Amino acid sequence: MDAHAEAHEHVLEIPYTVHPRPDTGLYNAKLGIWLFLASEVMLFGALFSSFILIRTAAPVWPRGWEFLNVPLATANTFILIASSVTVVLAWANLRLGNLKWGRIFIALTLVCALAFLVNKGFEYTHEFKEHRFPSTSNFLAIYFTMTGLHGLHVLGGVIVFSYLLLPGAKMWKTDRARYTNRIEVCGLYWHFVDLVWIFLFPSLYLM
Amino acid sequence: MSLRIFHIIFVTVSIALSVFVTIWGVREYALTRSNGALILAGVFLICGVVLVFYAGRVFRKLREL
Amino acid sequence: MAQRKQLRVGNQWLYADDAERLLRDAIRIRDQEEQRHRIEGHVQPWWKRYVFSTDHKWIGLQYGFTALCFLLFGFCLMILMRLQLGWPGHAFSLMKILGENRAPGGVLLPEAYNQLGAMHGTIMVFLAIVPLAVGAFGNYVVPLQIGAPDMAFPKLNMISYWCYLPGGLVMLSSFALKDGTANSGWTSYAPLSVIATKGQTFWLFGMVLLITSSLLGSVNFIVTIIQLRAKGMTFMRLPFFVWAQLVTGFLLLLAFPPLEAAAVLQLMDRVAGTSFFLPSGLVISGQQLHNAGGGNPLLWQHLFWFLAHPEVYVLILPAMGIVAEVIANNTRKPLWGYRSMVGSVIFIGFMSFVVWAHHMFLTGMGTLISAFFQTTTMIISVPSVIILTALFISLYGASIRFTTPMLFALAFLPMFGIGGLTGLPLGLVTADLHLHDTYYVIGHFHYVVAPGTIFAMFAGIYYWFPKATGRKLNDFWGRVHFWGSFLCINGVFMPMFAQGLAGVSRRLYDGGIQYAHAKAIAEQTNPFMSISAIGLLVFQVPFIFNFFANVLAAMRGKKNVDDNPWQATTIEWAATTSPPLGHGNFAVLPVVHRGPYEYNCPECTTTDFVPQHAEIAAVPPPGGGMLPEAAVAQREM
Repeated sequence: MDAHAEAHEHVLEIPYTVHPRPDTGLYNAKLGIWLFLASEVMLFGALFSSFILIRTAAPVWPRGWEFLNVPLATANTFILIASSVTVVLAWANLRLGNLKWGRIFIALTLVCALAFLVNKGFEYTHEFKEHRFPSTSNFLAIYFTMTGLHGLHVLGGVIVFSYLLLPGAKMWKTDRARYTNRIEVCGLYWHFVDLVWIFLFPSLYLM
Repeated sequence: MSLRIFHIIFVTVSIALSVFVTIWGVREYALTRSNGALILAGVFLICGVVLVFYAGRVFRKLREL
Repeated sequence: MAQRKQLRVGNQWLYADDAERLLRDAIRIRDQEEQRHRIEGHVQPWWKRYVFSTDHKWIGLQYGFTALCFLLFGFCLMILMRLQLGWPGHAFSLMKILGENRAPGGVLLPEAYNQLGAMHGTIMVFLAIVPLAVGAFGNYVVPLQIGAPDMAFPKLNMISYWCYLPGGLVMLSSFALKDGTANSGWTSYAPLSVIATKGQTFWLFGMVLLITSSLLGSVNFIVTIIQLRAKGMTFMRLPFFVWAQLVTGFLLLLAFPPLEAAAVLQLMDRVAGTSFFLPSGLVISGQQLHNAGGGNPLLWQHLFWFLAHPEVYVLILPAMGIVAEVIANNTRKPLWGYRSMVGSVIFIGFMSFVVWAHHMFLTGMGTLISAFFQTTTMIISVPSVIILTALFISLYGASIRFTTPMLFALAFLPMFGIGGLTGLPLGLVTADLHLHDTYYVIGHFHYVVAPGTIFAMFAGIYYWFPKATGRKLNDFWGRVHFWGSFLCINGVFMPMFAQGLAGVSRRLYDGGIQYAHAKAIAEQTNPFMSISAIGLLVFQVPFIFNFFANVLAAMRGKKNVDDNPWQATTIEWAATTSPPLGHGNFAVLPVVHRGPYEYNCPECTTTDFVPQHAEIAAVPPPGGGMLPEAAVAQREM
């Protein structure tokens, strides 16, 4: 029986939650997350545009390189690149039916995300100790707002990955394909969060 | 678009970042003789090489998945 | 076709193979009813069914009821403003409800007038009309019209409502603050809004919640429409309302995040002391502000209008969708130019992202940028005119049923026409220099939104009320509601054009009597407009009673119409019962065979319409529960 006919057998169930719809080639959550990411592009796009507008209008602009904690940020960059690899490996293992290694890689992703946040905490406290606050200058305002918002997105990832690692993993027993899909969807979100950082790092810390 | 394609794009962008930071660091060193910039360039050069190596090995495997 | 066996079921003749199918459906309905009963009746506690429901129909009703309450509240704020404008400085005992610090002795203070203005705009746009148009009608109607069992993400749908309601309550709670609520206008222009009283912070928090709500909602709508269309429901067979909702979903999805960014930045300015929107050397009440400076007040306007212009189309597109449905149904003709309407609606969606700065001609952006936005603004008026023209031509040659929803839909056409055409001078830079920020602007967008969109919303309420309750609203009181509202609403807004042309500024607390150029026209027109506004309030009373009387009757299980009272072709009427079945909506997921408006088409033989899902035109389709029951009874006899 093809997916379409199967879907029409069950009036009470929402179709295409697991298997892709034949004519669109997508399952619902994947389309949903891409739409959500499109809106996130608009959100960060608006912030980057504001950044550019304020910076081009400013007569002098401080260089983050000279006073921000670049080694810590560099470490964070590598942590996020590594976490994008682990999340893909988690998904690949689940797809091959290997829950044990899938969970290990989800846990590694989670560890990376937490390490990122801890580093960020050190970075912020360092800035505050040096009496650099959002109100000090427009550069710091943008620095704190954008990294803060990005940090909130990382925190969101932490919450979702913890859920999928512990209570959410029960779904593996009842619906393997759907659990794997969930990891894929989270992986897409996580890649977006990493990608934002790839742009934030040079524009805030180097230029 | 699936996770594997997004991963490929992400790794490509990361390689581009590594190239950019390496060039930036060398240029910064040439201008200001700052050792930090040279170290940063070196670190990102290594990162870039690792990523290229990773991309070459893993992309083919991911396609088969 | 070979001769098919016929048999009599109840008082109708049916083909034997159809009767067989109906019987199968009926047995299936019975089984599903049992299953639904198990799911809804026993497993789910009441708070899950009625408070945190995940059923799109119930969420739609929650949205609708909440939005109507906000609509009334926003209207009452306007009545207080109109009392002040009609008779400036006069003491009204009604005004005393605002409290001694806002209206001492019943005379409204200018500060309080600003609060009422800001909150009237915000409530009407973000808490009343968008939730009503998208949250209520979209939620209730879209899954039924495309043949889906529910929205794609029912839990997100529930969360979306529960972000909307707290967002609204946060905004309203700021009325209790000592310095009152937000008072920088619904546009919250910086730097005024940054240095404003604490109510503005509540406004921003509320806005962040509302944006989250509409973001979740829009993802849900788009996925539902793309993924959950029933078999055979191709994009070109979608009812126009669904198309309008799809484009609206994209506008909400892509236009709201920049406002979220702007709200975050303004929140940082207010709470963390940053200077995103504060220029250097700002002097407030003779004191220089100690801030880092270097910010850009125009940045707020760009970010705000990047949202708020698509927002205008969020307000109008669902309204056009509802009007198209009602007009096709009551003219008993296919919509004229369905394809060009769909094309226009998509084109509007794209263009609405490149017209925002026509709100900012007076900010000194430069003539080149102004010329660009003037051109795009003229271009975007074309598809709107195409849609309106197609709807007008649809009326041509029809034998129109003047039902109550049709009256509202017909009124929408000229009212939206006035609103749209008066917008053209505002889009032209030279004309806008004179008209900017005058009552002309207020008249223009209220014609679009009030007798335009709100009338379409009423058309939708009268049209789909039988769907949700199994009862038609009373026709006589519906007509009283319509004609009264129609006359009064024009009495409120028509004089605004004259005031605006005379140069009366839109935010004046006394309606302009302190200025020589505005005094005469303000004194001539303002009392009349205020009386019209009160008349408008009075004419909503029949609607409120009509609405609640029928809701209460429906709750006691009294139905007074059959499943398809308007003889509609779209499947929300034709393929399920009114009110619809609970969980899952349909007894059998419909399979769609034709376009949405097959009225009086060549296939029609016994009736003047063919439902979208009907297989054979000759036999009336199963009207939800009615016919199958008859079929079962026949078999058991």
